[in-house]
Amino acid sequence: MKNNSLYPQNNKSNFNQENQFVVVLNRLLIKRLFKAAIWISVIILLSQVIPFVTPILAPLIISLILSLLLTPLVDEMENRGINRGAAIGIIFLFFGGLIAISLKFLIPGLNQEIQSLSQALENQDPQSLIDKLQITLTQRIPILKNPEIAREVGARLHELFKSLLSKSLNMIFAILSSFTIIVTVPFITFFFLKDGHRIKKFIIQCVPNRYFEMSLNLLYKINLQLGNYIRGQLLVSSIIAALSIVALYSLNVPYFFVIGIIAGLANMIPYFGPVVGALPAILVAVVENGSPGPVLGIIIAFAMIQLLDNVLISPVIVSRSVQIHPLLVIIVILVGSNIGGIFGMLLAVPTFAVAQVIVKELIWSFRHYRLSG
Amino acid sequence: MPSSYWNNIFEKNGRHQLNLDYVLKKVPFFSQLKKSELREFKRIIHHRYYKKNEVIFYEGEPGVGMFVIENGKIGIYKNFEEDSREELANLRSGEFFGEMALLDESPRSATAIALENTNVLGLFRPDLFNLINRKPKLGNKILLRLAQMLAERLRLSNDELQEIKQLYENSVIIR
Repeated sequence: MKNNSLYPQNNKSNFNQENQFVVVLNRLLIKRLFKAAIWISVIILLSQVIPFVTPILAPLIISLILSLLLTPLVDEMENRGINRGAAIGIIFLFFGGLIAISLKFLIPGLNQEIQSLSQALENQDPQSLIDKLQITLTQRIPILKNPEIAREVGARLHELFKSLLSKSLNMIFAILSSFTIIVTVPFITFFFLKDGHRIKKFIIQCVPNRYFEMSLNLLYKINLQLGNYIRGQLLVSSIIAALSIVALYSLNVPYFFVIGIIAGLANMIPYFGPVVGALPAILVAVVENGSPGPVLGIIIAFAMIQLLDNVLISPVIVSRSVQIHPLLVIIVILVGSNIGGIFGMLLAVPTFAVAQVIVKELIWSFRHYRLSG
Repeated sequence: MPSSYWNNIFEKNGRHQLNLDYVLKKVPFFSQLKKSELREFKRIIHHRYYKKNEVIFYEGEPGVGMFVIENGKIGIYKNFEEDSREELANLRSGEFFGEMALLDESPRSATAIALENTNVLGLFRPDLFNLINRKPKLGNKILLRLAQMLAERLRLSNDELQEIKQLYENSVIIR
């Protein structure tokens, strides 16, 4: 009897356990399905929204970089007792005035220099220009005397110049001539500087409690490292540009100002930068003189500047925290050049550095914080 | 997603402002600040809402800042998830915790958990450092207050240690 009465009970408890298990499984399944449905809707929504958002990405990124550059200046002025809004106003007036003066005095000269440089390059048939460079190269590198190799090198050089120039020029003009950028960048930068803390506070406010402290820490570290990196890069580039201008001027290279600025900007590209920076100077020297005479002087000058940069300028200024493996740098630069020519090469390493800082900090946070429960 | 998530986003600002002034005046940390300084200070404070039993931070996690209880109740536990769980403190409105994290990134020494639905105010190291940079006078005032508070706690700890030492010595003599 006992046994008989026990069996049904046992069956019942088994049934209950199974039932509970099915209920829990169903709940989990529904929860998962619900989450998956939310994610799919988010992805569909994003794919629909992204085409509309893309045009405002460029002014947003430029404004973000500008605000990162100017924040220490605004903070310093606020530290000296000037109201934050007024401090931003003063800085805008100062830089606005500076740009206006540059437009009035410097740009016409620079424009003339660019125009005559492009005219000089246009007057020279690109093929003859490449031929001249080829002759110079064959004189310096004996292996290139082999006609097949020389032809191959010439064709490759021609293709490279053509694609790099067209891609980067198109990109630069598309960005600079865009009216929306000229109007919106100062406006957005002003609000990033004035209400940056409110924007950050709102972002943090939207983060769930469990990730709150981690996100706050993450945002702060990323902001700090990026600010240091961007400010450092810009300062190094300015110094390299100034040194290049002085060197090229003393070597009597025409259009020294434009070429110096290009060299400064190109310096942001590790390894390839110095070559990209020196190429225009060598090209102009060959075109203008018709002989490779001053090329050696230019190469020595650029090598000296690079040495100074690597030994003294960069180690002192650029934050050591953003370090990328040389092999990775080369891959990143090649990908960048494929996407956007010289402009892509310029932005490739800083963009990768930004991504690296974010990923590094995310990994650190995932390791140190408990994200469940 | 816990319901506290939406409370954090759609907080009632008016109610918070009134309560915030009242709570901040109660906390020794902020009680000596002038009205204009308090206004500046409020800009860097974060409001958070925690549901009952929601963990604010776990022992061992890197600390980023301190919390002041606006309303509700917080429990501070050592070894929270182990059998040897020990309650260190039971804190209420106007009281604060986690202030050590304002100075360095050392791991949290205990777990903090909401014992009932609780509103807290968070003051965090990055914001404090930024404030020191922008408003050094106010920053110094807060740092000095923090140092005084820590010194006070150190003195209390020393007294307690002295008491324990005395008790131990007495017990040795009796044996």
